[in-house]
Amino acid sequence: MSVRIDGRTILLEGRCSVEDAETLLLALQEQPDASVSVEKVQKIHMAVLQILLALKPEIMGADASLFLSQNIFRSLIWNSDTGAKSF
Amino acid sequence: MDELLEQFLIEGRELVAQGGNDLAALAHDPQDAAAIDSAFRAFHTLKGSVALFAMQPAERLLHAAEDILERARKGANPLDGDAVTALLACLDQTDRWIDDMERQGALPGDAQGVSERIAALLTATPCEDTPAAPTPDDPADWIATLMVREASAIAQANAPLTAFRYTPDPACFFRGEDPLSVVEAVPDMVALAILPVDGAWPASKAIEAFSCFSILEGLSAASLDVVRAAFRLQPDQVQFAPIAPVEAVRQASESHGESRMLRVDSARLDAMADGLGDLIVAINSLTPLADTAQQQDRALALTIRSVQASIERAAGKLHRDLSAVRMVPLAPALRRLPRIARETADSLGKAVTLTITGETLEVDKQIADGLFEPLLHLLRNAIDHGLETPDQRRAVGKDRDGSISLSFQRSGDTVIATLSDDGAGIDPHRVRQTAIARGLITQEAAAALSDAAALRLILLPGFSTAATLTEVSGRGVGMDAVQAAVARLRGTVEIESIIGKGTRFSLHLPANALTTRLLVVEVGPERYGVSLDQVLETVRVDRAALMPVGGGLACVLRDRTIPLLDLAALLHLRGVEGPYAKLLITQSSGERVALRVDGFGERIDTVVRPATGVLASARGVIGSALLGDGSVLLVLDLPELAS
Amino acid sequence: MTRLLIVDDSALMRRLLTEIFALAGDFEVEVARNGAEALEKLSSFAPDVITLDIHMPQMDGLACLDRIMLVRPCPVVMVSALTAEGAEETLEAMALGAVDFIAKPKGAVSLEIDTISAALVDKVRAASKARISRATRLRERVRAAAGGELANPARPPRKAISPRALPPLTALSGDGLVLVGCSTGGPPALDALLGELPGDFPWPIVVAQHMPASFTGPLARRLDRMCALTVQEVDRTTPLLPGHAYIGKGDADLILSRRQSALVAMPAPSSPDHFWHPSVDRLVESALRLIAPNLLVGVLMTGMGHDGAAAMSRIKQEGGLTIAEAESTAVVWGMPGALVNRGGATSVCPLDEIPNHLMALLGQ
Repeated sequence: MSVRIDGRTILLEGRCSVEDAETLLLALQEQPDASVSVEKVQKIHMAVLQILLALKPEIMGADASLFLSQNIFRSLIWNSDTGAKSF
Repeated sequence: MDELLEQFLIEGRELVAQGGNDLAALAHDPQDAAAIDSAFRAFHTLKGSVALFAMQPAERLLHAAEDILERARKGANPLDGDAVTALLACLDQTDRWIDDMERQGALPGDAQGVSERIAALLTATPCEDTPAAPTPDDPADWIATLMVREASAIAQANAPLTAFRYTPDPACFFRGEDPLSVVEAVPDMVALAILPVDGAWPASKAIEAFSCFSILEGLSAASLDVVRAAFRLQPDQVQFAPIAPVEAVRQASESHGESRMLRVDSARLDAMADGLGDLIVAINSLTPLADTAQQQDRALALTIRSVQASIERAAGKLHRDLSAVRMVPLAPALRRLPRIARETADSLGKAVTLTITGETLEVDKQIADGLFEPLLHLLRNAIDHGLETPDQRRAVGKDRDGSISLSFQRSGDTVIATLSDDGAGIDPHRVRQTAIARGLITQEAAAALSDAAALRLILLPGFSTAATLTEVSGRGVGMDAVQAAVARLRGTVEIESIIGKGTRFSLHLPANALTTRLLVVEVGPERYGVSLDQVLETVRVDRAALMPVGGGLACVLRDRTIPLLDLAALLHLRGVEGPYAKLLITQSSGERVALRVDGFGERIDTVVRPATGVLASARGVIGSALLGDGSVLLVLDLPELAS
Repeated sequence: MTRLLIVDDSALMRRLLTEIFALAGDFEVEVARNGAEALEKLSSFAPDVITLDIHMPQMDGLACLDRIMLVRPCPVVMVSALTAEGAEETLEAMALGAVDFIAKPKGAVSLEIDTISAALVDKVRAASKARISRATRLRERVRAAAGGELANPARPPRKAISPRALPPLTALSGDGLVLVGCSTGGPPALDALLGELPGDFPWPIVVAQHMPASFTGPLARRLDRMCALTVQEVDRTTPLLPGHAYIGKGDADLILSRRQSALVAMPAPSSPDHFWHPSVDRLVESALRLIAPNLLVGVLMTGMGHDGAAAMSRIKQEGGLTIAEAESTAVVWGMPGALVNRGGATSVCPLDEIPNHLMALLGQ
């Protein structure tokens, strides 16, 4: 399981696969103001990413994957309060 | 040059011209609603275009102008004459800045100050700066929306991009697909955006965790085929759009394309034209084949000829169609001229009215593109040297404002551009003196010239020197540049002038430039091509009809004596003596000249490739053409040979 | 050697299937071109198992199947198209007594022949050892045939169930869940189980039946028509209600989760960690994360393999109840057998006794 809850922080770690989407959704439904750490993410499935896009939690940390950091998270962090995400 | 910038230069000027036309209409009637609308669109689009470049002062100025037009459009604040004048100043300045962008890729240092000064002329207060972001209500608009969103990425790209919009099947996760992995495999990604499928992200409670509710839009620097390959497993879920940087500006600035026109890089048309040229060459190779076959099998030869005829018809149709595609109106090429005329006249303390007629005429793109330079020289020259100062004009009873007219008309396959002024005219006597003084011609030769021929001396290299060239008219080049530019287009220049009344320059240019109809002529053992554009007629006369005149020969054609030159002698070849003289009649320096050849060959349509290398410096050679049998035909420039 | 009769009107399909089974080595293959020929060979060839095409001229597959089950009951595997229409017909065939179905080979057969043939041979081999289902209302149809008409199985008359005096192992109370897993022979078994339960059954019933995606919708609709319970396919996040049975969508997994405080079932992409889908093990594991084990009843019925045995054993270990279908009624006693062998079954029941047993457990 690559979704771990540590207090008010939800940690995504390693390869976040499709089934993590439901786990992350549940975690964010239970703690809507939790922040999500992506520091140890190596790969993230679209299903997990779109949960982050839709619920816009506070994102912490730069991830380990170049593609993700360049295309996804950098702007996710910058734009986490806007509606449509432009990367 | 950066292709995006290149396209901006074209479109920016188009928009300036469109706005200029609208403002001209508004100068007559400031309440003309259609003109206000059109001007508003032009300013609005122009503002969007300049925003893509480092042109902030222009953007701010255009924004202020757009605001005035917006108020006028809503009837809140009608335009008056001053407003129209201010808008025109705004447009002229934008046009100058576009020139700056072309020359040095940046606005000059004073741009900010200039922008503020002109903005002050615009009395209306600028409205709140809210950039209009098109909303993606229509799915077909995704490209336009993407271009707006990714404008900076597109602006930074210096090669075509491929845009994609990937709407994964909501159930795709169940098939083990990960759209993010798919997109990650797209090479050379430039931009990526993940958008909610319904325009807004679902609320927490409504989220279906294993349903894909995202759309992935991206830009890749890879080709369409390469990007398409990355989506080979989802072909029905992806839309693609090739984004030439060219289109980028256009789309970004016009979120709703108003025209159904397809913009094609003219290089592609040129490539098609080259291909067509090769095809025509290949078709021509059937002629010798038929000739060879004739000796063995007449029926076969007949069949080959009939096949050749039908291929030729098809190729001919293709040629006409392609020519038609390449036909563009002259107007865009002329758009800068009115502003340049105003500026030039201003700087010289003169006033001028430029009227342009016939600019809707369509000509081959190459001609339209090539015409600007010579016309610009002629125009500057006419204002600088042709028109008198207002005082001088009043003294001779002319209107204070000089009048220059530029007209275009079509005559057969020729386009004639005529620039006339109502200035002082050119004095052939002074031209002769200047030419002699510059050592271009001997006193005797000058004296032997007719007045019409003498006027042509101004076209000679070296006739205009720094002393006669003001900074305005020539920018360091003289009338010989006009002659050279027109010759490159395989055209000719004619000059008429009446002292005290004005001068008229006529440029005769081929309207179609794709292939050239050539007449093959025989001179001794050699064969040459001559452009039928340059041949007025071909005649065969009894040798007895040739008359020695002075040191040369002449012949009488329809009661007119015309000089006759021997092409063999001009080419340093030995001609063949026969009972008849075969003559090509051409026009050189406004005079008819007969050129004697040994025989006329076939007429062919072919592509004449411009002379390069050693040929380029050979006098009287336009270029070369490849023949069907693989041999190369030199194509002669008759007027140059005859002059 | 297993004697296999291939019934198909397509010479190509006959040839393809013959080759596949000949290569397997342990089949003796005979072919029939239509229903009439199949019925002839029923006595002359005496097959151990039959593969039957549904669409044939003259006598179609369903009519042929019906006659086979009357004349000489024998395990029949339907050769079916994986379409919604194919699903209806196949489910009908299974109600008539067919043991299982295989997907009609199609597309790039030559490229995928190894994959296709392995699955095919496994299924037919298992079917050849299957018990002919006793839950097909054969007696009623024999009676109907004697009366001159070959009737389709009609909706069974709803009767008030009188719970047999089976002592409850544990007194269950509160809001719980019944989790059902089945595979080969599952559709008729579900018919027999769900069809006997009342419309106000107090706990939601969640079913993982191994099946292709196109089959579970028709299966749910068919069961809904036949049962007092409301039966629906879980094709999206669905809150669980009493009186309802939920069939997991095929070619996907079925998991339980929460939305606010409500319990929901939802389809989830097939997990690579599980071999069969919808995975019974995964369903049960997700339930164990959310619900106290003593509020779970696991029912594992007929099917090849061992899916569900591990997770249902956990239910028992952690204080819940599990029912394994008895070997005497299971078409294939794989899954329930695995549960029994692990010691994970709190009780073992013949199929027709499972409804009563459930009712008794819930004190109904």
